[in-house]
Amino acid sequence: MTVCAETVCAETVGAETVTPERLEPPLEVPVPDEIDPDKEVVPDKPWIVIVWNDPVNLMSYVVWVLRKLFGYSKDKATKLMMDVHTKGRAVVSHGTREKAETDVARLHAHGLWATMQRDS
Amino acid sequence: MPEIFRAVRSGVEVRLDSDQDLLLRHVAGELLGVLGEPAEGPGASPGLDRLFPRAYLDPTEEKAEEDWQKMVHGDLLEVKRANGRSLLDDLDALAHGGGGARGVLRVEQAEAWLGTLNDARLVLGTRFEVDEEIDYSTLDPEDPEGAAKLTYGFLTYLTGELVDALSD
Repeated sequence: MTVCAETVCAETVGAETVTPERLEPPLEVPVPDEIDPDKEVVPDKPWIVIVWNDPVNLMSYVVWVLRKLFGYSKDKATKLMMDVHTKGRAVVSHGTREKAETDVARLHAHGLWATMQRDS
Repeated sequence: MPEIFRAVRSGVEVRLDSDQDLLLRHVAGELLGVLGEPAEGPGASPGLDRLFPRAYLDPTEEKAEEDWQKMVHGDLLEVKRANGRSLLDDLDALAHGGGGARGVLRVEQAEAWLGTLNDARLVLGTRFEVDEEIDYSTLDPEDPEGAAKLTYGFLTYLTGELVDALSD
């Protein structure tokens, strides 16, 4: 996601108080070729938990579950739910294999269709 | 339909008439029946398959899947059973003299109700392969799943109301 790039930018801006002219040519900030909103992943957390779309669970219910289980804000939970609804899936958490297994079990306890896999 | 669940300071107020009370008891009883079915492997019970899906899609993780199922399945089953029993106990405790049930559920009780309502919808939805929306105005009177679809619609209404009450 864009978080890392923004952080790098903010640090650079803060350190050098760059003028707009100095922003071009681009600063030597590594920018990923493609920003995939589904890949909100920290490198040392190699397992991702995916919630899949299903025709039964209500949108409001999915938001409620994500907020309850992960403490997400209403905005974040709603965005993830909309990804599930429109893209068919969303990565809702990541971490060690053990954490992912626990998260999947908690999601299943609440009736969401969740699976886990190694981040690729 | 009149409001059935309403957020109050101490939890969620519930007002069910006698028909709604009976229907919920029936739904919870059916769900407990499904949860009591022997697990005979994938495909034997689509309802159970939906309530207890796999964690690993990757077939090379079969050993991890088996270990995970051994570790969590009993607990998941017990959570769902306890939710259903809790709803039935609460209906008894909240029985109203004029029929139905009235009173206030604590948040954890209301969450158990929500779990049972949603699990029952998952089982019913799997049975008649629900699409996103059912048009109740065009239900065929001869449809053998007609009663199940109406029950599903009622549970959908209750689930939406209860989520809203718990989200307030």
